[in-house]
Amino acid sequence: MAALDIDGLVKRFGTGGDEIVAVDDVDVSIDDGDFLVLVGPSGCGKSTTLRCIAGLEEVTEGDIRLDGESIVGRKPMDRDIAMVFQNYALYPHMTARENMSFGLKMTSDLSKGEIEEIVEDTARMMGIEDLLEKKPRELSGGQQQRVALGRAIVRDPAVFLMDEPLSNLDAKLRTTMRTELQNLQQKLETTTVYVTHDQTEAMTMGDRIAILNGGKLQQIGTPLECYHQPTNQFVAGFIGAPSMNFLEVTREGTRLDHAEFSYRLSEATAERIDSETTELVLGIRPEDIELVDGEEPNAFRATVDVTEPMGDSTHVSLSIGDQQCTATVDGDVIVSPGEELWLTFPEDRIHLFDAESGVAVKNREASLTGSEMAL
Amino acid sequence: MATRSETDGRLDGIDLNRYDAATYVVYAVAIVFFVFPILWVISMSLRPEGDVLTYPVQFIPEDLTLEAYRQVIGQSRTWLWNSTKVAALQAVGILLVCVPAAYAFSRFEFRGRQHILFGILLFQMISPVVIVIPMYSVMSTLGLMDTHLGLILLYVGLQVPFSTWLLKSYFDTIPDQLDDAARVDGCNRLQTLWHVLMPSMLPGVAVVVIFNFVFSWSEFVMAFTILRSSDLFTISVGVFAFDGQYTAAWTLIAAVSVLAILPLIIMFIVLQRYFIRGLTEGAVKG
Repeated sequence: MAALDIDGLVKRFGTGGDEIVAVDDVDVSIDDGDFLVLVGPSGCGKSTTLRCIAGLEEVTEGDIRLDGESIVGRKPMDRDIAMVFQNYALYPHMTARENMSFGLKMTSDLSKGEIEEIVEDTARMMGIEDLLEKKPRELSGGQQQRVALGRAIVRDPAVFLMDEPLSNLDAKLRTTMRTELQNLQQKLETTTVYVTHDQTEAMTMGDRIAILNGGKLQQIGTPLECYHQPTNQFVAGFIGAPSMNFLEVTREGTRLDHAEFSYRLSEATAERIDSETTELVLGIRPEDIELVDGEEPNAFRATVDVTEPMGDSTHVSLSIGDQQCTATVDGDVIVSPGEELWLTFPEDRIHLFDAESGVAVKNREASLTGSEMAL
Repeated sequence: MATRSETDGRLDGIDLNRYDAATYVVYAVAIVFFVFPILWVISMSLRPEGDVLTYPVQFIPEDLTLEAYRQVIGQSRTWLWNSTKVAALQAVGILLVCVPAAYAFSRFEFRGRQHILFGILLFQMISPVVIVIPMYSVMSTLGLMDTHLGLILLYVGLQVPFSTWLLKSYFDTIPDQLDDAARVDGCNRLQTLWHVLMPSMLPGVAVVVIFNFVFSWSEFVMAFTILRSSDLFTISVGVFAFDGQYTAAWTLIAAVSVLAILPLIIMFIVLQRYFIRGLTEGAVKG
């Protein structure tokens, strides 16, 4: 177990005109025993960041410290880390037992008997003791994933690095393994950095999540902080499913003008907007959109295009003029394509972003802490 | 695209039985074409000397005899051993050069990588016969004429380009994540190559070994150019030597030819299981 600090990390590939900045000045601190999820779209630099921590890529600039001690320049084997790969990367010619013991044989002075004992104990904990004599090709995807996790656990590392370890599993197994991984991490209390492109995984697994885009860190915080208080439009759009709706508006005093409607803010809210700019983007999460009976202040009409019943709720695709928008309504509400609805955006739930920079100038007001959520 | 129907055994209207029959006819013609000369040589090697040119032609001789084998076995044993030694050592030499080269070409990004690979391919295009005279000159200068070492070095040089490309293509099929996993597990590059990649490379290595063994075993021009002493001859030169020493001794030539083929067939049978692909199956879910 250890605290991990990433300080001003820069990773460039290529030189001159072919240079690509994969990771651009990323700062992240992970407390001892914390589970941090690096999340972002493909090519955002999350896997490169993980590979830099592992020592599989050389750092161009910046520092990575483990318990205050720089590990930049050290070989992967000297970093006290273990890694789980997206495609498991089990050695095909070795049995599960040999796969799990290989790292200890190469890096420790433990006797054969001691290594066997550690492997057996870990296999028992992972429920894979019956698979130890099997080769990877004889194992299912889920079993391979358990062996790959076991291979990382036997090393008893200071930090676990996991590179999209669940992305090759089917949806049902992924959900099961997600819970198993969380239980395992809580049991072992090992600092973990977990990379995924799946925002659901990020929201459900991480103590904190770090959202990357274009190599830059966009926000780091608890899942609920990132969900309710996004620092910019990218984070707001990336976190949450279905995504937040964005509508371009022009601010005139307390009024937000959209091509299809006009939205009036209260004086108090208008004063809190931390920007002089008039070109804004109004953001509203699908579940925060309310259906109302008829014309009332800040209500406007929209036409239903498609409905997606989910059981407890229904996602309704709507047209506001020529702009698409999604609302999540109670599953009991029956709406049909072509139907016209009256909608309103509760003022305490709307987000406003600077249209040019994307920076949040107002977030929803219900900033929920963990204890408030529990209540 | 033609699709197979499970119910009527037809391939989009083509009668499957007729289709299969046509395929087997093509196979049969191909087999006869390739196997008949070998069977004919075996037949010749089992005849008394006088029965070679009988008319009408008899495929199975009336008098079967091993006399030709008795006559050639003594000399052939030396040539077979020479061929085995040269073929084995050149295969080892090729692996020593080509495995690290192919690993580097597959795994490392370095300046000029593509150009070097192209250059290697270009060298492969040159017929060995074209470079016989320069090679003769080089070997003479190095004092390697009429030595097995000279011949082995020559073979290694000739076969490195093709073998490097072949091994590189095998390395390319092994996922990089295995290298990463090995490095995290404490291996350096050489240990990664030896402990993790080479076991997955066995089918590729077997192909390279078999291919080069067969090349060396049957190569004639270079061996004939380099080797002078009859006790250093490889079997391919030996067969030719029989033609020179015993004019029209066809049964002896046939017998020594059969002896030359046998080790290759045995080697192929022993190593063919390594041809079975799929050793990496299960390493990485694809």
